[in-house]
Amino acid sequence: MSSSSDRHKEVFREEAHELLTELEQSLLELENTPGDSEQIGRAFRALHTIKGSGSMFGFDEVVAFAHELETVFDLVRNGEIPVTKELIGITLESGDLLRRMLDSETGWQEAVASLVQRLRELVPAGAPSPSGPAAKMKEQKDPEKDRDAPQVTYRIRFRPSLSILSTGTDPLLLIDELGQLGECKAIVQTEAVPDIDSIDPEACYLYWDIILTTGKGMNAIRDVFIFVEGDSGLSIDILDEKGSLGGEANYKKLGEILIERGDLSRDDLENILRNTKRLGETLVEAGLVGPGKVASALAEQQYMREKRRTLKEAEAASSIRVPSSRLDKLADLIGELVTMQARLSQFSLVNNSPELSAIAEGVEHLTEELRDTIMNVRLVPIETVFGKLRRIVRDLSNDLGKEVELEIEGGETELDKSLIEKLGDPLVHLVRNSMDHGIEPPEVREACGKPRKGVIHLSAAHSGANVLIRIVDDGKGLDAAAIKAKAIEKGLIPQGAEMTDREVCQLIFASGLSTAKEVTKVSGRGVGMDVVKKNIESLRGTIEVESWKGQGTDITLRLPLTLAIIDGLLVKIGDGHFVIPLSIVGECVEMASAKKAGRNGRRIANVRGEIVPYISLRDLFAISGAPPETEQIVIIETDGRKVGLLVDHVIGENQTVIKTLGGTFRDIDWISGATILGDGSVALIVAAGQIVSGLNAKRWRRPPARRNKKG
Amino acid sequence: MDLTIEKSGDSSLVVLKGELAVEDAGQLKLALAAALRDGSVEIDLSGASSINVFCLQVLCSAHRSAAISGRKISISAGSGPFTEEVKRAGLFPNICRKHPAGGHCLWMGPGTCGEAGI
Amino acid sequence: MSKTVLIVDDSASMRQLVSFTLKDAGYDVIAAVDGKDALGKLNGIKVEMIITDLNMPNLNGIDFIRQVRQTAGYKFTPIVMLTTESQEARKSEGRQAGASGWIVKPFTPDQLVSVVKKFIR
Repeated sequence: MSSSSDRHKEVFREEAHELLTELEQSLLELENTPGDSEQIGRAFRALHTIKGSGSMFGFDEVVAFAHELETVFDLVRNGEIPVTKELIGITLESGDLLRRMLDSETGWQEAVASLVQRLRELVPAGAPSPSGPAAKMKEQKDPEKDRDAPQVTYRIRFRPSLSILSTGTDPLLLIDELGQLGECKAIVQTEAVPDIDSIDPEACYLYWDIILTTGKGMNAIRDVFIFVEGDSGLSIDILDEKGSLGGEANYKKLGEILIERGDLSRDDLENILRNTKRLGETLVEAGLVGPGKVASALAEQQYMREKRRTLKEAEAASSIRVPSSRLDKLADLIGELVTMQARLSQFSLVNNSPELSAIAEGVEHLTEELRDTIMNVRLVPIETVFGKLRRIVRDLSNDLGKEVELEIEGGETELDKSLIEKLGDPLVHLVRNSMDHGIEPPEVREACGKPRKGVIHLSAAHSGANVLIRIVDDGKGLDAAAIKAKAIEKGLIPQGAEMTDREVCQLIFASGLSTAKEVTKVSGRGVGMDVVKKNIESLRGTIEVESWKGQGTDITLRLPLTLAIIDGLLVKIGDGHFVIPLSIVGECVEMASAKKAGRNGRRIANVRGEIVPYISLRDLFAISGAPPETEQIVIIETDGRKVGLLVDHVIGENQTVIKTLGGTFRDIDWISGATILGDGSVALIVAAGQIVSGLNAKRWRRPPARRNKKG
Repeated sequence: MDLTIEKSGDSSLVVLKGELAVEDAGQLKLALAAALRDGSVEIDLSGASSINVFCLQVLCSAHRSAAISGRKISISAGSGPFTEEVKRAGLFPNICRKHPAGGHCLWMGPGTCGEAGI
Repeated sequence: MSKTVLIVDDSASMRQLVSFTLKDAGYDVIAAVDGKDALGKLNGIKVEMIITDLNMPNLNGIDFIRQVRQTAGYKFTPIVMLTTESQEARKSEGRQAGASGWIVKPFTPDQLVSVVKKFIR
């Protein structure tokens, strides 16, 4: 190649010298007859050819310089600048310089610069200049670059102009070229072809619908049509972005495709759908759509279905994709089934028929299994949320000037999809908080004898029917004394309240408390932790914090695996049934065996020597009537504390299908939902966490304790 | 293009041989228009070495005219190049199911239309 | 059977480069130095494609294209013009005259061949 290119270069050099002689002669002629347009054209053409051909053989400096000259002569040609002695002088000098440039590689750079300067002075300001001889070659896309591009499926409608043949273009060659871009299916449309007496055999009436799958991108498709795009109709739509299983498993229905393409109106489709025949046939018979159009739409349908099927088969071995709405629907149905099954069990109990109770038992087992299976299907690894946090930690490290490493453990732990979606924001907030308030700047850490780089350890693990998510940092920890002082200042707790450090730490979740000295853009506006707690509680979860001053903070979230069905503890107060989420229930004790340890009406029970405060739900919910002689205390653990809930009877475990309450009940903090029992009656679900926080607030508030307005 | 027409009664056999280039579309149009005026038409393409898409377009137009006037037109013998060009152009058996011309496909021959599954 | 391309350019080095590239790609090449020369050489011979410069003495590219389109036998012959800049005005002038496409200088041998392949099967 190099020998041939050297040969080409040599030919160009000779040619350029000849052209420069041409230029010289035309300039000398112009000196005598300055207005001679033939000579101006001759000069221009010589420069133009030097520039055009020179660019082909790598004479870049020659090209650039010739371009400056050509620009001037283009203006002369258009009568915008006159031919002057000065112009001729500069151009002759330039010609001589071009000769030098052609023959030697060096020694002319300065001369070029000064001549270019003088040439530019000849050009009036604001004169249009032809676009520069930019090295177009360099703009050409590197085909290697596109190799790994994702495969996209396009729908192309190419409607050649009637006169496409008059420019010597065979439309089929363009279709062929498309075929070289990827997998391609073209369907011709013949409806515009007139009858044999009126056809112009040189006009193109045919047009094409093309389905193309390629990784080369929209521009490559447009490039195919680059010479005809101005006159011909071309529309390109993306049918399938990912080249994978985008959207539904089944490709669009025929009617949808036709409407999307503008070949059929929705009204017409709806009218025709009342028919029972195959749509395509019916449409053609009704004369609404030509058979070619239908065939083309069918071909698209078939192509896409096949495409998806083949892609799917590859994936089918390991997994399939289902729209989550279907899973939601399935979960709803299971909920209904559980409720129905409870009724059946109840009925069989009353009827006392061995056969019936055998059936009821069988149904119960099946329902349980079905429930677990569906819940499993909805599980998604938490890694999807954790992954997002990696990026946040990285970006924040830069923003805050801190060095932080995020360790992730248990990313494969699975949670219900809807939970995962709602968990993102609270987790982001918690991690931001750790970075902002927890991890110290590197210098401070070094001064404390810690490694410069802080660590945030994020982990997820199953724990029974719950998932534990922990965010542990090795930062400076919470300052219990400071929090306490702040809480007193804000009136959140009374002066001199007796609290353990652990209890004090939980105060960071109280609204209106922020101990950060300065408000940064990351966190510290005093809203946040309370919102996080609310969010977690709305997911029926709990949040706890533990901290060691100077050593770090450990925040633990406990979340149910699923939102739709929980295991509950069914209790009875008066005539009403209530459900307490089993996940937070520690134990149940009889009131008789737990000594009432309190004096002066303070409600404190002594459970095996441990002092546990308790709340009477009967009082809280203002249920009338007298409690039974022996009441029961359900001990729950939340916020790191044990609290008892006093109820009349504990009935037992219950599969609780959660129904949300209507808007009317939205303000009731202590009830989080309802469920339907086997006998058809309704049981309310107790929001134990909220009740305990309420109790805390009450206990810490300055006496006399006001009755909560929502009670 | 080498074009001959053999008449028998009111039907014509149009024999096309050689290269059916874009320049031949005009001549093909005139021949087919005349033949269709006289009656039914059979086209023999077995000797065609190549067929330009504009000639295919003329065949398509003749097919349409036949449908309108109730005459019969068919391709009695195809050829490799012909079939190839039909496929290349994307002329799927899409025009003739329930076509008034008589229910068969000009391009693919009788009995192929059902495959389109319309 | 190899296909014939006519290259029309007043620049000897361009003619040589285009001829060399196309012959290398398996085409037969006829070269002409300007529009007038090219019309004379076309005289009835079969060419599959024409590549022409625009700025030429005697008969410039645009007028050459116009005349080729009116010449029997070359009505549908693909004609690609060589331009220095991708100026829209020049392109549409060429298209109106009957040009099929264009290629902008400088171009690589590969680019030239790929454009030719767009028009010759």
